[in-house]
Amino acid sequence: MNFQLVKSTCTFCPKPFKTPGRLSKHLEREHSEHRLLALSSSKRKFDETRDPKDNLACDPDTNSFIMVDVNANCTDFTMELAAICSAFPNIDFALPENTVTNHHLENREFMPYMSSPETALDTNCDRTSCLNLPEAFPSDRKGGHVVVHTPFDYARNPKYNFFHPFVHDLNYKLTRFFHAAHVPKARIDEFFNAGFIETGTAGEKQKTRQTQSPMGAFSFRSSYTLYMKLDEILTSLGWGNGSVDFRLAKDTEFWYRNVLDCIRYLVRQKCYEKDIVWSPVQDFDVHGDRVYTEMNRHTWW
Amino acid sequence: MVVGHAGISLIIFQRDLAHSLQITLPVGSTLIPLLFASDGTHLTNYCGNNKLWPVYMTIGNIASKFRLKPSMHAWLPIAFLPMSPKGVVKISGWSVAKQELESLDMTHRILEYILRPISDAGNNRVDMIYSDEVKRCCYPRVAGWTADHSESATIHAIYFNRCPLCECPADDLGDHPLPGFEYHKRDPIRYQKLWDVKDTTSFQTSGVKPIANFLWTLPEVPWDIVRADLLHTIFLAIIDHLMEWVQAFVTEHNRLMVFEDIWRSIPPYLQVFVP
Repeated sequence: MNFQLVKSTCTFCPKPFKTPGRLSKHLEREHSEHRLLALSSSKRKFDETRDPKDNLACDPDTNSFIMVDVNANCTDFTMELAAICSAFPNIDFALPENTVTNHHLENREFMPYMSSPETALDTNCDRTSCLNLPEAFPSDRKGGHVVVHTPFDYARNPKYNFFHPFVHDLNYKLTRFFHAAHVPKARIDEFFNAGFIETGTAGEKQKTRQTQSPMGAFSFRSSYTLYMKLDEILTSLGWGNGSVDFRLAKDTEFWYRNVLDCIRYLVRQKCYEKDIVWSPVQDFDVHGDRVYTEMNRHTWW
Repeated sequence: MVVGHAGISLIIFQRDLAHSLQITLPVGSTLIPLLFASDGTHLTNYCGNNKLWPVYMTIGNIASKFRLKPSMHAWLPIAFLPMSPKGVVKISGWSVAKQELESLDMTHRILEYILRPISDAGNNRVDMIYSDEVKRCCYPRVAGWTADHSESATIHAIYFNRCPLCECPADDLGDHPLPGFEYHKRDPIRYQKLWDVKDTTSFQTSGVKPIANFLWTLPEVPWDIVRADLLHTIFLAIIDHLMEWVQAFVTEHNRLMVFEDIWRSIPPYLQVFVP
C-alpha cells in the first residue's frame, strides 16, 4: 500500500502514532482514566433506530460527555453544551476561552408574558379565563404561541442522542473531518483498512472491535457505509406505499408521505426563518386602502 | 403599528377578526394554511402509456416570494396517486360510468387516507418546533388546491360539463344569470348533509356523483378550495379568448395593421414577449 499515514500525536501525551489501531491500544493502556472506552464498554446496547429520542448516546453515570471536543475549529458546540449543562447541573462544564460562541442565537427576545412557562397561555383552558391577558396577538415576526421557551427541552431526556444518526460523537467527529477535508472515498477506505491488527476467529475479531478498540465504537467501516449514514440525515421524510385493487388493474401502487411530517420539515427550515409569518396583519397604503400582498393579509386568515 | 414598505401595517386585534379563521382557534395559537397542487401528467407513449399523478403541498406561512421560487424547494411531493384504468365496454351489467364511479370512489378513499393526519389534527393542536427553536401549538387547515378543470371535477366529484364553483346547469353555463339570482355554491358541508339522508335526486340535479367526498373529512374547508392555475386561466383561456375578440373587432374596422404596429412598438421587458 503506497498510502502513508501521517504521524499524529496522542491527545494526552506527545507520543506519535502512525495508525489508529496502535493509538487505540495506547489509549487503552496509558489513558484509561479518561474513559474513552466508556461508550463502547457500556452495558447498554446502542440501538440505532430511526427515532433519535430512543437512542442512548451517553451514559449519565459516566461523565462521557466530556469527550465533546470544544476546541474543534470547524463546528460550534455551544448549543449542545448549553443543553447538556442544563440537563446535568451536577457536572461542572466550563467553556474554554477560545471557544466560538453564538450568543446572538441564544439571546432571542420573546414577548415577556411568553418567556416563562408559568405564565404561558394554556390553550386547553376556557377562553373567558384568558381575558385578563393582553388582547393583541403577538407581532408578526415573534408571533405564535410559544409553548416551551428553552430551545433544547427534549435534551433533558438523558436518552436523547444529539448525534443522530451517528451512535455518538466520535462517529460524528470523524465524519465531520472527512467531510470538511474533502477526503476521497478511496482514502476513507484505506483509513479503515490500515489500522486494525486483527487475529483469531471471526467472533474474537468482533469482540476486539467492540471492546478493546475505540474504533470499535464506529458504526461504519467503509466509505460506503459512511455515506449511507449521511444519506440518512437527508432522507428523513420517508415514503409509504400501498396498493389498490381496481377491478381491471390489480395491485396498482400509490405512494404517499405523512403530511404532518412534511409540515414539520418545512417549518423547521432555517432558510425560511426570516420570512415566515405567524399571525394576521392588515396593510394599508398612504391613501388608507388595504393592500393584499401576502397570505396573512387576507381576511380569511 | 409598524410603518413598512407598503405604508402602514397594523397588528390585528381580536375584535377585528370577526370573520377570520384565527378567532376560531384558541388564544395564541398559530394557523398553518396548507396549499395543495395536483395535476395528472402524461409521461410516455412507448412504454405502455405511463402516467403520473403527483400531489404537492406547501404551507402559507412561508412568504410568497420564497414559496414560489423553484430553487427554495418549498413545495413537497406528498403523494403519487394511482391512475385508474380505462373503462371497458364489453362487460355486461357493469357499464363504463359504473367503472369510472368505482375508480373515482377509490381515489377519494386514498386521498382521505393520505390526508387523515390533518383531519385528526384539525381539532387537536399539534406542537411543532419552528426554525427559531421554539415550540408552538399549530392548527393545520386546508386553504387551497391549485388544479385545472379535470382535477377540480375529480376533487369535487362532479361531472365534467359542470361548473366547479356553483351549481349552474350545464345548458346555462354561457348565459348571464338573472339580476339578483345566484346559484348554490359547491359547499362540502351541504353535500355531506345530503349524503347522510341519501338524497340522490339532489346530487343528480346539482351534477355531483354519488360518492363520499374526501373533503368532508377535513376541518373547515372553504367552498372555493380549488383554484384554477395561472396557465389555464390567464395564458390559455383569457388572453387567447380576448385576442380573438379584439382581432375580429379591429379587422372589421380595418385597423389590424395599426394594432400590430402598437404591439411591435412595446419595448422588450423581463418575461414579456410580443405575441
